[in-house]
Amino acid sequence: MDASVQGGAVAAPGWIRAIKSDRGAQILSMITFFLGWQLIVPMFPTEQVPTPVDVANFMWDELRVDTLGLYNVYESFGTSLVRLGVGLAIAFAIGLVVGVAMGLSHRAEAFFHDFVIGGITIPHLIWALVVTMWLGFQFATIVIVVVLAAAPFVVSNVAEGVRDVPKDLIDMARAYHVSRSHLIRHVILPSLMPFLFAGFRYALSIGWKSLVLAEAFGSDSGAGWMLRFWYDAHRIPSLIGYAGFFVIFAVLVDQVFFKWLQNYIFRWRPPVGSRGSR
Amino acid sequence: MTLSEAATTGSQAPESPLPSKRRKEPSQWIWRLLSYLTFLLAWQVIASYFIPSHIVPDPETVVREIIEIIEAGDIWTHFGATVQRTFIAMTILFALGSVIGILMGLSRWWEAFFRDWINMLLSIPSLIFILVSALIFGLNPAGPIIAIVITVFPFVTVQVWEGVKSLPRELTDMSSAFRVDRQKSLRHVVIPALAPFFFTALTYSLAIAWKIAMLSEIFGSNKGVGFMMRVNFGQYNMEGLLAWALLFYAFVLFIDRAILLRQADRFFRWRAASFR
Repeated sequence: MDASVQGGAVAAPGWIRAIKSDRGAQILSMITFFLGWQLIVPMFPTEQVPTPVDVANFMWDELRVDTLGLYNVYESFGTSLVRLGVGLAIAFAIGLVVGVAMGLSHRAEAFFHDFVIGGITIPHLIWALVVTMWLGFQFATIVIVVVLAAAPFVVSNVAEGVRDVPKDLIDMARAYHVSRSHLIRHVILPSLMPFLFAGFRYALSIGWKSLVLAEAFGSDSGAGWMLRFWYDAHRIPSLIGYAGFFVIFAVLVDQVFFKWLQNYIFRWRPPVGSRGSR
Repeated sequence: MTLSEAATTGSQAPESPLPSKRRKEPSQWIWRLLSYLTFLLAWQVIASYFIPSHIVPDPETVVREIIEIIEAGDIWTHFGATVQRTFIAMTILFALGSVIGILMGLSRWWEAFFRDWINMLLSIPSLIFILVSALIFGLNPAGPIIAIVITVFPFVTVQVWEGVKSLPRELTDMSSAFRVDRQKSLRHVVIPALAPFFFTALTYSLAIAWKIAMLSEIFGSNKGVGFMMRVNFGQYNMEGLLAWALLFYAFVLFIDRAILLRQADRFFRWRAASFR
């Protein structure tokens, strides 16, 4: 029997199979969107809406360090990254202390619970406005807002992690009279790692969003401030172009930085067949 | 939302947010109350000694301002405008998000089609959507609505998508074994099984939607809570700013606790009945 004909069905031509594949879906979606965008623009009542070509031109110029803005894209993102780093370091320090306390003690949990919920739900805008009015356009302003935004997430993840350390491991360590520092370093810490990692991911994402907002209202440099700059200058292609840069930044952080961090921190785990990071 | 739910938004089937019906220890209530009191105390101290009171007014001034605002009657116009826009936006984005989420969950092709866009939308700071729509739409209420829809619908999509993917295969297998047609299967099997995910998506997306509504009103509106906050900020009236912010926050908390948590029971009831 001819192996290429199964039960009467005929294999579809190559290009139909290409479209039906996952890759095809991805490419088709990109084409549809950009084409759609380009075609819809003339239909808008206003002259304002830029075409993909306008935006691409802007982004290309920026990448070649040829900018109309006060700072180019590399300077802006660089400034923002420094502030983010400092803010996250502080948020982590606070988060670890409070989180461990909350994980170990019911009273601490009851006490801090509403602060944490409040911290998670109070709009970062309020923090940004109040701190800006208090400190002005300073480095510390942005850092404080990042800390206020990110710390609650670190706290709740750490608290959850401490509560979930497997009891049998601890009992077993006690039964074998393992020393306390050994217990912390080789049992508790590795077991906390997934939570710290998740906490770090959330903190980074939330911290970054609040940083952008804080810079838009309370600074005169940085990626968030550039958004304000383009808005004040009424340049929509630049705003959308910066959106593109933010996407590129997010992809770099996620695919490059986090993959590396994950491999480094979890290197003690036995290799399981490829598991997605999602 | 419980702490752990807020931190790890539903990649597993969410449990009912209502605690079991045991009475809370009295000592827990005391510590909670203590935390509110500490907050008020800290606020008072900071306002009196650390930060000049024209930047951070003390609690008493703000409370007085709140009472004035309520008595002046303005509050209904502005709250009304904000709530109206948020409501319209939520309807649109929930429908859009659910449809895309279900598509993505049921078909690998649609998942590959939308996935990159959803990721992109999620990684763009919401401020950009707000600024762009403010520039395009000016004071037209469509501006805030569109900004809310674009910012928030990906969250709904992701929740629903994860939900569909986590449906027990027996359900879908069973409905195809009994030859239930696609539409019926969708209506009577898939969607009810998704109820807990819809609920989580609803609470989560509503929380974000309020914030976006407020932020977009600051740039692109002439009424609403965000607009009033901008007016006060522009006049350096910090009591007014904080008063409106607190009122709004209280309102959001009220909606969340009183209405959504009460409804949580209805969404989770069928689960308890059939799975226990």
